[in-house]
Amino acid sequence: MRTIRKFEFLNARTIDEAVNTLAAYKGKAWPFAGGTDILRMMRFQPLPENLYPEVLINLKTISPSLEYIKEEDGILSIGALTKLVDIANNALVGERYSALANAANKVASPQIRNMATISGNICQLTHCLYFSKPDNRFHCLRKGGSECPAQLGDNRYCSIFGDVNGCVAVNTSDIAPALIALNARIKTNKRMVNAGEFWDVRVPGSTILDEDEIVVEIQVPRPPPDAKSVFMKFSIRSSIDFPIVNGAALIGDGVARIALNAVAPKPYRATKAEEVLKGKTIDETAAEEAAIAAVSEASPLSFNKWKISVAKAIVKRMVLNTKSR
Amino acid sequence: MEVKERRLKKPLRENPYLTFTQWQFPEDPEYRIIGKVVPPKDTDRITGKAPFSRDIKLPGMLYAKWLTSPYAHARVKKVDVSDVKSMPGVYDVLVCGDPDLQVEGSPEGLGVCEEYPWGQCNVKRPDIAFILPCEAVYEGQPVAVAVAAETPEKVDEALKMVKIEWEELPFVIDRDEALKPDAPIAQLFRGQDVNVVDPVAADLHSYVPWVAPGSDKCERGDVGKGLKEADRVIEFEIKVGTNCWGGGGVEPYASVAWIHNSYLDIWFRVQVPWMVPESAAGAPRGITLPIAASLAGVPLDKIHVHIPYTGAGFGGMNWVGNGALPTLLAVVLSKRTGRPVMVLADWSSFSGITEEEEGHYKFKVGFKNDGTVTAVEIWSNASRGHAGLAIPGCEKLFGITTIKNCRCESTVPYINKAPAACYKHGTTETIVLNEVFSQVAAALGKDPMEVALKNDGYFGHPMHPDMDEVKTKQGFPLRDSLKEVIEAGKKAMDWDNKWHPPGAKKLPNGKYHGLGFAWADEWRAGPWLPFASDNPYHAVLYFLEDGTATIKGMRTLIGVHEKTTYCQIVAEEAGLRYEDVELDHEFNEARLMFPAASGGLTWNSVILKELGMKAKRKLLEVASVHFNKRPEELDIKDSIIFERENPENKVTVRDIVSRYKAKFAGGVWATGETVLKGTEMPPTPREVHHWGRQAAFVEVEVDPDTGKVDVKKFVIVNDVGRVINPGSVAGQQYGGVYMGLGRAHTEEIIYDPLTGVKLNDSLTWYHVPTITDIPRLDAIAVETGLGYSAYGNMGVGEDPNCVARAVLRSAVYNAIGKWIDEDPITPFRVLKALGKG
Amino acid sequence: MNIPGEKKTDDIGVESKNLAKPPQIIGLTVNGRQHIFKVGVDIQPNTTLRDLLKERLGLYSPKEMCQGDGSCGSCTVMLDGKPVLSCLTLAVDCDGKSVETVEGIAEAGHPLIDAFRNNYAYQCGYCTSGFIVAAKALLDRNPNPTDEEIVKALSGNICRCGAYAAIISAVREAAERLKGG
Repeated sequence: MRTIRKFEFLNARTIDEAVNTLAAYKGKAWPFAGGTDILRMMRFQPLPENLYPEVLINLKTISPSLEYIKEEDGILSIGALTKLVDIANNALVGERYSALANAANKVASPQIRNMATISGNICQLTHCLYFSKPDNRFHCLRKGGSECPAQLGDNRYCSIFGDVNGCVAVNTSDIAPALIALNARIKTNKRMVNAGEFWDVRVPGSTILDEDEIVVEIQVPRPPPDAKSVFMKFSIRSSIDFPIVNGAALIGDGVARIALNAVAPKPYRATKAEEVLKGKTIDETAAEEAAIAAVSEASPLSFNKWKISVAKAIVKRMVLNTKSR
Repeated sequence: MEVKERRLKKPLRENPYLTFTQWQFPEDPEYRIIGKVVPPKDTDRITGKAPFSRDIKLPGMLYAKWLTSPYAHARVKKVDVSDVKSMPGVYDVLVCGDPDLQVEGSPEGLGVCEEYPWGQCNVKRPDIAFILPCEAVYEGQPVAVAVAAETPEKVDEALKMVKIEWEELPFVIDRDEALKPDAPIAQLFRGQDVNVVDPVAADLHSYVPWVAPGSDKCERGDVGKGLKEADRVIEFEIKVGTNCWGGGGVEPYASVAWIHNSYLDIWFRVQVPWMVPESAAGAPRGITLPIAASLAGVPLDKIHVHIPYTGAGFGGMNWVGNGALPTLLAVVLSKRTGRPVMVLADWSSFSGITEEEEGHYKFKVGFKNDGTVTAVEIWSNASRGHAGLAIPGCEKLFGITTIKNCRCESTVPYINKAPAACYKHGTTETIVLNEVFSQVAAALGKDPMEVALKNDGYFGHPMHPDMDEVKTKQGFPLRDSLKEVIEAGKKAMDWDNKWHPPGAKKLPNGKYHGLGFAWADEWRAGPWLPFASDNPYHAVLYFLEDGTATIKGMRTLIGVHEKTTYCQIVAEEAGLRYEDVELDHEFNEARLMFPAASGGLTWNSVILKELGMKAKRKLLEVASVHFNKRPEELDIKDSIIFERENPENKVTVRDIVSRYKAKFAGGVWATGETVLKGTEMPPTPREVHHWGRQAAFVEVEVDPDTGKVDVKKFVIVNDVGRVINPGSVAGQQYGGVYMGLGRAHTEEIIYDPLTGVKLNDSLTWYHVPTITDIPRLDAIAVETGLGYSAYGNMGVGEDPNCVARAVLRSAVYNAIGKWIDEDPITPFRVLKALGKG
Repeated sequence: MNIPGEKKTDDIGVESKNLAKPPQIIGLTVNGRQHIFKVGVDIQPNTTLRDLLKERLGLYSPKEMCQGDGSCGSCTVMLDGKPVLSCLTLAVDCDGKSVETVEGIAEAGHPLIDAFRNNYAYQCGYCTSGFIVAAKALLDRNPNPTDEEIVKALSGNICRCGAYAAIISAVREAAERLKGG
């Protein structure tokens, strides 16, 4: 097994300490939560030398702890360091925010859900097989390179909704679509962001966060009583797997919000599908129409037309699932 | 023939995920221990105490790794290691071209450089190969530089400091492309100007005896005549992919070598530790030790082999390209540094090897309206990547059918992929066999089992009456294996009620329902078997003072409950209690018949039976003095020796052994005098017969929108001849089906078409099935006694994997009404077949 | 046992009092025994829990099937009672925690060990430690699991030989034994 590359490890006792240290290191320090994504990256080293963190700042030592789930005044607040297993098993989340609980329950494997945090999941690096190949084998756009090898290569798992800044890798967060469908907000030490505006495609990052900015809390408004939220994931394996396509929907009580992920460089809000459903009773026909609308703007690459069919099926099944209560 | 009164036995606890059923026959003798569920022996594997190769630690041991090629084809122009040599903790830096890496001549039957799938030959000196080459012919190949240092971390740091100037060379990873006239030459160092493997050099004949010497064709009868006799002729083609997470298994390779005094000690992850001299050319197996001896400058007899527990072994580990490389490099580094050196092959799981041959197969099949196949013609370009040898894929079609006229023509290209090797071997042959009969059955609208039974045979001979005569002559029961496995499986699957025409059954959940059937023979070890060579083999039994006994004989522990089954046989035959017998598998002075590979138990049960019988004779001879009776008047049961006429007159084995210690000094030796039943079989005298059959039945649901194939139920039926250990047989059946299904529809290596680089060489993106991905399995073991081994038993390790991979093809066809012309059947390909991908 | 340090941060010219500090000493319990390690001496920031167990404590049951990719479960250990991947856990991140490996489970005579034996729930044994740890964690929190719960709890572990079904039998048997059955 390869050694994890060297770094300095610092424990932050407060949010201030964490962000001050991040600022002090000017991009050379990264926040460290569950570690499952960062340590894999630090071991296999897909990035060029200039992009690795030299310092990891442990957020788990912050006091008071950022590990909590509570509901107050119709808002579910989840601390940034809450483990995915605790979200998946939380009765309240399961009852009222089931898309989120189900999404958390579908991430990777039980071991990883015991380690990984919600903020780590939404901040994971957007990647494709080329991006992830060790030792910076493919010096792609997201590493400061000049071309995207996936555009002309085997892109069977890549974006079906075009590129962002030239990148056709997909965001594989399972939590992301659930947060978008549930209209969540992400609170950082600097600002409050709507989930739909949280993600970006950068070198090499995948969020809008500044170098000295960390996620502090996730806030999810309680869905209307008659709306139902669902999450679905299509992957090759049923466990230990990234999604090929996943999605979440919140439908009912006059609301229709549908989000897909792993279909584009950023989580994809299926607004066309939402429009189709407005004012409609959910039935087979409505679901089919929504599914067609959801992929109406898809433009496949050479190897991934099949993902359009999968995405369409996911939307249709999610919509129909919100019907059965 | 009618099967009477068979007894159904369920020796293992019921489980909703696996039912294991044994079909036994009343005429079988009842054994005390054989066939019983006994507590397995090697419990260190459960308690975390079992050391695997990477867990070995010696005083002063150094660690070493090598660089791997980032390119599919490239040559090292310049290496700069000046920064590396002075790094703290670095002990040695080896650069390609160093004379210490050179292997010369043909020691102990070693061939010329053509036979090293790992090496680089000097074109001008074809008798020289280098362990670490300067030209890489696949991405991930060990190449250029190796470093030995104090810790693995220091090795990683040092390798990062190596500066290499590469010359990228044109490459080809597609077999069809490789055979075009203007194709790039995949392997310049071989000095060839085409990518075609020379059939004479590859010596296919020695591997597949029915390929004519110096040829790449298998031929029987007259295909033209056979096609004329046919009522119908169909043509079709398939592409079988390489998709395996290879390298032998789950444990990344490591080897330790230590040259001290005049000895060489080796600890390695290996499947075949010792030499089998008459190995198939082009596929050198088990020749690690002779090369190691010559590199170390010690005689072969002064190598001391240690075999730690082995993280599975499914094949491929024997081949020099994988198993031997870490060991040989460790030897070189130990010689240079004077220290024990552990070589860590981090690349090995994905980069060392891929699975079996990939190939493009084109078929022309003629058949009668009753399903009798009259002629088969196959053209293929099966390739084993970087390795020279590729098996044409027609062995089963030739070996286990009545088809009189067949021709299988195979052009084998070199391509810029890792060498491929056997890995639960036989999938390609099984796919080819079943593709013929599935397509014929589909074309005729017939039950595929009817077509299978019609064509089941042995090298062109029908089972009845031709084989019946042979069976009678050689003392085998008159049983029809295929008929029996089909009967058992059909019932377990409820086939007749579930069967429907292709594409005809859409379920309420929107998915297509499909049923599939595939069959093959039991896997038989080939002509490289100990019987075909002069390799001496033996087993020893030492009696200890406490009355227990230890079997001594080298083999590897790859995880087929080898200790358990071996002790069962010896205890059974010697009259000892099972718990009184142990196996010492690291005894260098006696090598069991087959080290650990296909047919391991099948072969070794012959010598173990002999050993048990000899041990019993010895005990009775010694005891006869004590009893003052002739040995024939005595018997042993449960480690107690008694007078037959008067069982109350008894003494324990322990008493006899401790009282007559000197008589047991040196142990009891078995040297393989027993001859296998049926080894003198026409028409291939070097082969044993293979009358055992297996059948797989699968029920699937195919999602037409996502392309996902859900396997709902699987029935596997294996004729194992006789069950030695139900737990082990059930484990092999389940394990084989599980691996076969993974290889059939979730596992696939993806290559970048523009660079030839593997893109998903990690367990995250190479999808080995998890516990959530496996269906309910009904495993049925049929006992016909038709095997060639000591108890009529035969192997089961490879078989379920092969049929499982093949059977999914016909099930998906039955579901969606379309053949998937490329394998594996991932959602991507299903949707493509449905026009959605 | 976290002793705040004051090094390094001077280099970047920022006042260190409101900055994160490196841990200096890590104390953890492994299979019931306490151990203390000095950061920078006994362990480094990039030392994984797996390295610590193997190299410092001689516990080599956590394996490396996926070579540190987090996708096989063969290095699973229990950290404060929960199964985690020791190849992706930093030793410096384990201060004050309690670790349990299969060596400890076997030493304590847990019925899973016998159950794995009785049911032939292993072949080569390379993945077995990870499965037993994951199963132990399940039985600790849920002594009466359904088959579905067993499958879910073991879904992060890969076995290449194919012992899955037998492992389910073993976990069921261990659960029965724990109930006194």
